[in-house]
Amino acid sequence: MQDRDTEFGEYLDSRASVMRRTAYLLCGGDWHRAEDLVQTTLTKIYVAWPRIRRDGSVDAYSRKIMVRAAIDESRKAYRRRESVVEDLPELTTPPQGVEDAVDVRRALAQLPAGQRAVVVLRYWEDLSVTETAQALGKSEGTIKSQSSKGLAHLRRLLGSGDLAQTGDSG
Amino acid sequence: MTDDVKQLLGRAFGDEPPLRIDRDEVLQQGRKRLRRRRFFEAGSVIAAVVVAAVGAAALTNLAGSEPERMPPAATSAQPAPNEGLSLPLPPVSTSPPAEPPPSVSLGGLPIESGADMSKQLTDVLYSSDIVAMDEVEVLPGQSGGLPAFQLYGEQYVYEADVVRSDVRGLLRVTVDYVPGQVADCGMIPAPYTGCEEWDKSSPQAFLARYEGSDGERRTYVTTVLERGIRVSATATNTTDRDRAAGTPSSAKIPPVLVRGAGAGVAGTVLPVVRAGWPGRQHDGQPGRAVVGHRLVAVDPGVAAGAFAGPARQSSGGRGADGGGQYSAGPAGQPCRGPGPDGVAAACGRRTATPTPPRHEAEPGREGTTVGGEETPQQDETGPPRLARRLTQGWTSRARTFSNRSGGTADSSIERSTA
Repeated sequence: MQDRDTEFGEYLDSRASVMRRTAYLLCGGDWHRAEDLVQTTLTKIYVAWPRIRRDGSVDAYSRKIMVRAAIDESRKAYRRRESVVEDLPELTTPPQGVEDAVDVRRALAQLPAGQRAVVVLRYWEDLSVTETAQALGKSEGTIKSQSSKGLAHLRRLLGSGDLAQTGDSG
Repeated sequence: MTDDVKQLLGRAFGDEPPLRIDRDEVLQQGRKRLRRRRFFEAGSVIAAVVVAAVGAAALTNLAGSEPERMPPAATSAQPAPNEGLSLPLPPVSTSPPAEPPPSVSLGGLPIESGADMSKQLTDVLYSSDIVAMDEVEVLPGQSGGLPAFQLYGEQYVYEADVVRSDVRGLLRVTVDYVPGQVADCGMIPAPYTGCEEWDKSSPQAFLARYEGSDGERRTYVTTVLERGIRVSATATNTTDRDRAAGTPSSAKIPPVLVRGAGAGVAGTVLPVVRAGWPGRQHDGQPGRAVVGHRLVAVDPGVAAGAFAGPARQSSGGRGADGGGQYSAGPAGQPCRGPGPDGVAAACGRRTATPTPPRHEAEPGREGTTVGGEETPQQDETGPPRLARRLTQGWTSRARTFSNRSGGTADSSIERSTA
């Protein structure tokens, strides 16, 4: 148990912030939910730690758990009703760059959870179509179409200037 | 393109707050989850032991004690005197009464020969240390003080709310006859989150778990022992009373599975039970068939004809294919002389059907046996209907559930590879 804790602790320290970023995108831009998601993922990884260490697939396993947990979470209705914030928002002039972030966040949040997961895995985690299909348990064709739809959706929401007109069509 | 999108996604972060994931908290949660998982797995073995122990009792009863108390089956020379259908039956050669069998002891679980089947099953269950008499309650709406095995149709059913100081839950054990079938995951009623082969030795036992969003945890184990005796056990963490009242479960795992999770009950009872299986202990006994709650000893070669012939089918017996086809009306029943309680058994047309337990006819409920979901009085002349809606990803191959006790023309289910 002590070995498990030590090894797992090292993994947690090295990967938690990276995982949180991915989780943030998967959640559609909510740091609190992202941290919850990472904690859930890490807890599950802890349970299966010896096996996934032996298989040498910790990152792939954690991605899979995180994506599935994010999609499960997105199905819960209460998530759509309220979002948790640490401080009450103040209506001040946002600093430069924040508007961009808010726009992208809003656009991401409007994507369906499945499409968002595909876009994040494909373009943020740099996974191939095959790897994304394995992580999500879907066919490659589905990944291509979801990716294409997701990008088109983002393009529409962001005013098309930010993204080129290409995707996983092939 | 990829870089463009990545850059765009990177813009979503804005001011990134400091990481607030507590390492100790994660470790603590992980340990807790791990403990719960190990506990649950250990408890599943206990449920399986219930199956094995009760199954052994059923088999011992079948193989050893029945000829002593049961008179021979009626033959065509003894027509039913009342309004029941009087059909010619193939001759049945009854076996001579066997010598009084010795009492069998299975690891401290005494099985008295000659005792009533329900009583024996109940005694074995209470002797098994799975549940104690002072912690079980009859289900709401049922009569009697102490829960016991009862005969419903052709199935022995035990149902009880198990109430302990800290945990509560339901235990359900069923014993029935499914000739020609082998245990598999297809026998386990949906829904369940996973099914696995628990015991690879013969006879195989299959174990399924269900974890509901409302906190319900359920473990289901089933096996088909030699000579077609199916024994199934379900343990849940929600009592029938709590379910009816809408009270959420406070227990994390079924209470039946808590006791003995680390006590090694499996290690002590199971080998003894295995040694008691009739394949080794009772070789050479005549073949047997189950008709209602009566166990009749017949010559093996005649059994199929006597209980599965076309003439019987018209009076409500099993079909010629042995698949357990039932007619729409109550089954005719030949005279059999006095029963174990000394009262003459009813002859001819059966006028009343025992009320099945409440869970038995409800699809998707725990403990519902395969084929048990449908209406028992289904007209066999009508088109067969699918008894249970299959969950996504499963396909049915000629599923025809036509009887109550799980006998099917072909109930095999295969996992869709699509």
